[in-house]
Amino acid sequence: MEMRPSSPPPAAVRRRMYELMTLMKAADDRMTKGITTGEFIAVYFPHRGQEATAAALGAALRPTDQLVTTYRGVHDHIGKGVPLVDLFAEILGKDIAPGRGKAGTMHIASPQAGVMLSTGIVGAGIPVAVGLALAAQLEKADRVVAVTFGDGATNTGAFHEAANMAAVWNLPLVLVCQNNLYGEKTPIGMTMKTKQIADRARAYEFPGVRVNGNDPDEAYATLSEAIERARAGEGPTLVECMTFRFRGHSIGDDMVYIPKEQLADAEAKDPIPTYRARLLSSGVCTEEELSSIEATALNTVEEAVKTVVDAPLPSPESLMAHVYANPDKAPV
Amino acid sequence: MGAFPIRIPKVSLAIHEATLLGHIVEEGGKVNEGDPLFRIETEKVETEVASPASGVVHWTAAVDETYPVGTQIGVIDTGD
Ligand SMILES: Cc1ncc(C[n+]2csc(CCOP(=O)(O)OP(=O)(O)O)c2C)c(N)n1
Ligand SMILES: [Mg+2]
Repeated sequence: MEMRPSSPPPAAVRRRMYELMTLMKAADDRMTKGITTGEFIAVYFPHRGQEATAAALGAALRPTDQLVTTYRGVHDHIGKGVPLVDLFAEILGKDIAPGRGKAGTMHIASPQAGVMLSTGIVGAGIPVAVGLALAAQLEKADRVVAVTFGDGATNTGAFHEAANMAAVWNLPLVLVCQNNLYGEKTPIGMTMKTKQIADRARAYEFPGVRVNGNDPDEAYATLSEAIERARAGEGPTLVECMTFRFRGHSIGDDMVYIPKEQLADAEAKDPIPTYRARLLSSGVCTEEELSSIEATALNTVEEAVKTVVDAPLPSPESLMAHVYANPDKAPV
Repeated sequence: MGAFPIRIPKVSLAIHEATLLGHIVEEGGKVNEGDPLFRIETEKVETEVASPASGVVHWTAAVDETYPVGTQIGVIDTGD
């Protein structure tokens, strides 16, 4: 796929992407604050810094399209339209969550919103997405499946097997790699010789493109093209979105393995204020509109947190329900 | 409303308990949300815990003791 210079997305899309990015950031800030201050107990993998790709993907997919993501997936879920209450309730283990609080942060699903699976097993979502894309193809549905994963996931056998089958079957699949330069605490250079992950698609004879994943306009243009290629029956695309995570791998990770200058440099290019300035200078939004979007994001997150904090935990008696299809045979 | 509990945080994935090392804001003192409130130790790592709310601090648990994560160790009178 050729990267051609394209005009920016329509104003309504750009505004929507900024709304999504501010909501993602507010959610990440609030989960981080709540956990580190002891307000609530949860396992959480921050996405702060990686919002632009998720917002672009969310804006480019249709509601009927499907998404598979990972443990670091709250930004992707928000982009796809999963309600905040569902997300926070699952993370905090509350009974009102779609998985009754048993899915936890790593296994959030919301089929109504099209999010079919999140997984804590690195790379494992990609073959599942291949299955979903095969189903769409067999049903002759016009839906597309997108799957997001990290740089590290592209070193797993699952990625390569899935990429191969997606190519062989010419599936309506978009593989979205969020390359944040680290797999947990290991810099990418210690785990692969490949200079561009996008090039891995060449081995399977489908297009691979690298984009600045911190630029929502650029990511949107490429992701939309890949999605429409998939919808038109032209097969899979790998989109490598370059980004960085500003917080630890999980809460409590002190990030000693990230050079201070590298983090400072990434924070100086924070995609959210950068995009804000662009929307302002290009006349897409006024200062008042941007401030109102930001205030709305904070209020929406605060209201959702309140609902979830006030909601009950599942009862101890319900612990084994919805876990095994046949609870009588469950191991004790 | 009014009384915001202060709890031992689960500051990293694998911890289940923490030792309350000391208070940064003394009994009856005022704190602002986000400011340092108390210190804990987990697996030889010391962490300064920020305040979850703004108000007047009242402590209810002894220092130098070890508590499970989630244990309430005080309360913030938020005055609303
Ligand atoms: C199959 C498997 N191996 C190892 C792990 C432990 N692990 C959890 S996250 C992670 C890093 C994955 O890095 P990457 O794919 O770049 O995603 P990121 O966390 O950077 O978003 C590892 C190794 C795991 N969960 N699953
Ligand atoms: Mg990574």
